[in-house]
Amino acid sequence: MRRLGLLTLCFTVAHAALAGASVSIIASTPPEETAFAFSITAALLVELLYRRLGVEREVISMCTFSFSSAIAMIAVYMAPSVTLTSETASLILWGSVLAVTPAKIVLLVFLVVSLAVYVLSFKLEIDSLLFDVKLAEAEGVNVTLHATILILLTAMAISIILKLTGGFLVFSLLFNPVVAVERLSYRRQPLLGALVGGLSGLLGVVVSYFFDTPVGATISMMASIMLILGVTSSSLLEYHRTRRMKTYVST
Amino acid sequence: MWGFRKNSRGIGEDTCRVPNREDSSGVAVLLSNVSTAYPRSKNPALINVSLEVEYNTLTLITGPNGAGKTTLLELILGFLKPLTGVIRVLGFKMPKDSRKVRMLSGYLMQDFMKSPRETYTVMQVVSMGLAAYKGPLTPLNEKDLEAVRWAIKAVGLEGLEEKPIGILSGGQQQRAFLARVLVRKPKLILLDEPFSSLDPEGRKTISEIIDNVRRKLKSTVIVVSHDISPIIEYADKVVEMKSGRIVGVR
Ligand SMILES: Nc1ncnc2c1ncn2[C@@H]1O[C@H](COP(=O)(O)OP(=O)(O)OP(=O)(O)O)[C@@H](O)[C@H]1O
Ligand SMILES: [Mg+2]
Repeated sequence: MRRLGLLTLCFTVAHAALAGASVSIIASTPPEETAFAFSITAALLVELLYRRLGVEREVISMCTFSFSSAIAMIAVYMAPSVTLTSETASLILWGSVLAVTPAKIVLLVFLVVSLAVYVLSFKLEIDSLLFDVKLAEAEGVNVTLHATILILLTAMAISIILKLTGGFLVFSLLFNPVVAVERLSYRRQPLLGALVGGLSGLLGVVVSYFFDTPVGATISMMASIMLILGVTSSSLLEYHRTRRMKTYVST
Repeated sequence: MWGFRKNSRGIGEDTCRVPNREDSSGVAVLLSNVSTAYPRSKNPALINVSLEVEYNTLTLITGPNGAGKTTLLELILGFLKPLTGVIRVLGFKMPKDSRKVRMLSGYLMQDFMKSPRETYTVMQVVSMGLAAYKGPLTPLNEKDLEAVRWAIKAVGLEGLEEKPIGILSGGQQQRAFLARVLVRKPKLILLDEPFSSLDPEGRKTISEIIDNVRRKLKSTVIVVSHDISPIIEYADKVVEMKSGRIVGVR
């Protein structure tokens, strides 16, 4: 994702989902569906403007991002204070483990499975895309198709996770693990990233249970700690490599 | 249809992926009176360019920086739209049939360098050249892998298959991307400054490989290069460009 230059796009999608969820507070529509609709619209808008007008994805993404954040804020302020302090609102903004219903777990599992099936069946194309979009396009890989599928799956995942971690924090959960792993090793990034992400999620839930802290924030904190651990241990490893090299050269 | 059988020179004997689909014109790449400009740019990048490249030939394009050489290649692959004029490539109208032409082509980009953090291995990067030909759930088979290994060997990178591409030297990376072009067995081969990072000896051997592959695959080759000396002996035509125009054809 990062490499596809879709980082900002994911950013946008996440915040559009948040905007959708916030709007759902006032409009009293179902939060997930509204969030999903908003994020898809944002993603499609970016792609459309990019294709039709040739404006850089980054620029449109940032615009849409600011716009959705604004919508989210306005929606929160416009919401009657009774509603805002209510269960739903704080749930959307800060998340709660209680939001995890069996149905949602099934949905999440279904999503993960479909993502896995998709990635496995188009492994070479996706690798090619992640490595170099321009070259992949020059070789006849259907970039539009795969970018669309990736965005759709991301939007769905974000809309579902939103309720668990809360809108403001969904993002750190998505990207901290990937960065942490990237610093640490060369290969198997997607897999390790998911693993680290899952681990910080699990740790976060456990810690928030025992210390009675908001679950979304706790998970994000775990993800950040993972990131710091990853970065420091990679520097330590590098330090040792250099030392060994020095002794090797001087003998 | 995939394996390159190895003969004395290590070049596969098969022809390209599509049987000679020579259209009646006999011209692989045709540009007539083509002008184009980049989005949001004030000046046209190409002005009234007309060019014919026959099938099974090797054409060199040379000229100073900013002459429009890369632009010409991007136009041939449909990355840019012509403002005026007509473009036909391999019998297809461009840029309408871009994907068909791209499937039949191999492109070595001028700007190919990857950051040291890039983690895909040489083997993986070269294999990606086959991505567009593989349907869902059809992993590379033994023949594909053999073709990939052959291509890597042909460009002189044997032994580096499992190295992450980012930590190779510039010249080694350039060879890896050339291998990715070769593994596709393209009908049309477009190489943008293929010698820019190669040592003098490398320029000679790579020129030889390009010529060999072209003969074996019966493909059409266009090479953009400032330094045409390593490859000029194999060329059928040399096109000189300057300031967005073709100023000479030999
Ligand atoms: N992406 C772009 N956007 C706007 N203008 C561009 C872009 N790429 C190239 N140009 C302009 O088009 C003209 C031709 O550029 P081109 O890259 O085709 O030159 P070139 O002959 O390949 O040069 P070089 O030898 O440096 O590779 C130049 O004037 C350049 O400024
Ligand atoms: Mg150029």
